[in-house]
Amino acid sequence: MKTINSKIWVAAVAVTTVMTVCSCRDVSDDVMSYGQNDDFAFAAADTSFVAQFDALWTALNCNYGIWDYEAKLGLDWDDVYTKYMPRMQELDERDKEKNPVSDADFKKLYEEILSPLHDGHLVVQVKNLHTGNRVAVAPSNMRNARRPDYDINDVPPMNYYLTPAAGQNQAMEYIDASVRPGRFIYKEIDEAIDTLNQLIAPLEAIADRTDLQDYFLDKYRAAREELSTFTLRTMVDLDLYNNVLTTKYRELDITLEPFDLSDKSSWIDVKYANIDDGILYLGLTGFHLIPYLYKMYVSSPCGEYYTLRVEAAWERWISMIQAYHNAGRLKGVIIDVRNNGGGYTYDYQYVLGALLPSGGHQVASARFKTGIGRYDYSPLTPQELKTLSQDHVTVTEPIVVLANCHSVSMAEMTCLGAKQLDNACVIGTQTWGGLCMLNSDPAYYSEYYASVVGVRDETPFWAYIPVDVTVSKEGILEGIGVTPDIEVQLDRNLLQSTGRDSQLERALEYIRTGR
Amino acid sequence: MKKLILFFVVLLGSVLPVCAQWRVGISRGVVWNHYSIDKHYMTDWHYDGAMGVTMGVVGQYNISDWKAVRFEVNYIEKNHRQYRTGTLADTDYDTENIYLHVPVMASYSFGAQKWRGFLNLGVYGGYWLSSKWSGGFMNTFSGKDTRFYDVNVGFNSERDQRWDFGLVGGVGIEYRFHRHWAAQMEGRCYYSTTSTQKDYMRLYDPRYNTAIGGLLAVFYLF
Repeated sequence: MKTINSKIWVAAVAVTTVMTVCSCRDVSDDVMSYGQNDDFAFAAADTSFVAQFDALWTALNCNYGIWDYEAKLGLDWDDVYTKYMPRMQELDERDKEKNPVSDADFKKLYEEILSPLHDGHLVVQVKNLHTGNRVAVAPSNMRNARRPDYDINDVPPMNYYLTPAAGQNQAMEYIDASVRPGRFIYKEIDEAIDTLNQLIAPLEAIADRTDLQDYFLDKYRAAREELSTFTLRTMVDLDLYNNVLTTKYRELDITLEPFDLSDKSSWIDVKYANIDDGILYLGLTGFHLIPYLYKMYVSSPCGEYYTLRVEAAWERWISMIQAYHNAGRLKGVIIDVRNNGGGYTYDYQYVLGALLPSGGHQVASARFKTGIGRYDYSPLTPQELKTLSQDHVTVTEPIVVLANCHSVSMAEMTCLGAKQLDNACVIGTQTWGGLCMLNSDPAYYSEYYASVVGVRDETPFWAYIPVDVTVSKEGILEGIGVTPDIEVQLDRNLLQSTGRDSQLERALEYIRTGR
Repeated sequence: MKKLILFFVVLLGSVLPVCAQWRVGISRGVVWNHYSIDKHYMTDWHYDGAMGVTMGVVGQYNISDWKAVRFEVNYIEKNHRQYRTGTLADTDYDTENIYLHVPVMASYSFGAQKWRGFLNLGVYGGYWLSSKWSGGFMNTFSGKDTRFYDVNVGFNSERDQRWDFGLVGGVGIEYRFHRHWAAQMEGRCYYSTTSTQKDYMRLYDPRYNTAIGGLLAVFYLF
């Protein structure tokens, strides 16, 4: 009996000990979601610089996708917290009325904090709690501003290649379908002036006009004068046109259609050329073809105007590729993504993907966030982009992708795609270094628990963060970009003196020689 | 792995005096592992436990007829499933984690000579040997549903805590079917007190495994 009691006692002590020790598991820190404008998450951040920095640090810690890459490059995000928190405390201690933090100093401080981050798309907007103004910091802009071709902000015009002086490089056919507000607005104004001239001429021919006729003649002349002198230079001019001029002359039965492509990313340049009877060129400054090719803008005269032009350029390019390839006359294809800021991944099928077999093209791998931890990542999955599904030829002739410092995002993915092909070559300069995919709509935040944190111009901070991490064969290329197979700087002197585009001419040489 | 187990068996045999208090054996069983993680705001991510197998070698030194010290070297799988609901329901990862465990337990037994009940209580140390992913993923950018199998999860030395320590306990019955042979059936729990992640960032976010299983063991009694 004594033995049994002893056993029970020992077992009871042991079980109690185990139960006690079991409680030694720790619990996680509380982490809020910054994916939406959540008052609880952002409330403190609107009251002090310390709380604002703490929240921004946490939001980036949990949502930013390349902390392992940053660590390899020498950044310790915890150290950033430790280093800059005292600076934030100093800001809080300043008298808001007598010694407020200036926007310039505030921006400089956050540039210092964020500049080590290498993601090519990252933009952070932070509210200066003393002035109420917001400052924006884009680390990739700061980094790339040091590059020699950063200040090249436009693709060289094709004018020289439309003349016989270009010799064998002459474009036999050229369509410029650039979506620029001026094209539509000046067309509308020209049509209105034509109408006014038709109204003015008969009135002027009347020798003995009535008061009413004089009244209208004066009005017509004033309208013609105002429209003739209208110049579209800035967004203010665009607002003036849209909000004033379009309705100002209704009394005269003169109406102008508004320019209603409000999404600036849809203002792309699309150019097609047939150079040297068989080198088919497509240049585009943004991957926003789909809204035009899917006729998403045709509900307005403005949208229809641009849709018809973009469709015509793209369809001519793709149809000529089919015709020349089938006739054995295709010498090569040039895709010009210089100064291309990127856009829709699905556009790939209408650009490089239009030259490849149907069924998709894996250009890289991707990983996504799976938890709040800095290193919580999914397995790598194929980053496959769509290729053209309708019947088309597979281009076996040389393909050149022209790229430069301002080739960003989908433009860089196109370069990566070209690098996978035996018959393709990337020519130009190193690309921007922002290959990760994004979704700027906060409504999609919870799809991958990344993308946008906060609400722009509303919450005490806002950050535009990639949704996934694109991993190429060479690894993560954020802040580095795609290295061209043949590096060619744009010869600015040659361009200025003759109009010749040294990068385009190198592409033509590659197509002709294979070197 | 096999070499490591063999090494421990040989080591155990070489250091233990062959006497009546000693017994050695092998065990095999299945475990269901529960992964404890705070999902925070990622509410449509779900974590389910998953089955795995365990096997090992056992040595036991009987201090008296009801008290013993037990040593084991075990291979154990601490698996779990992570998946999403909603629009990305195709995202579903099965994670297979293989550990080597060395439990040391006090074993208390009671009952008759042939049939005895027992209770094991102790601690274990372990090491995370490997981790693999299988499953599927929906990439909305490419519109592709990707399947993958046995993809190695590369350990991140900054993130992953490969050493594992915790508590172990079990209850079971023993049937002695021969003067030198006995069989045991045991329900056991490994309760890890070590997070699978190191404290690698300022935000603290520990994750723990709890493996509950059923074991069958056969012993040779010296």
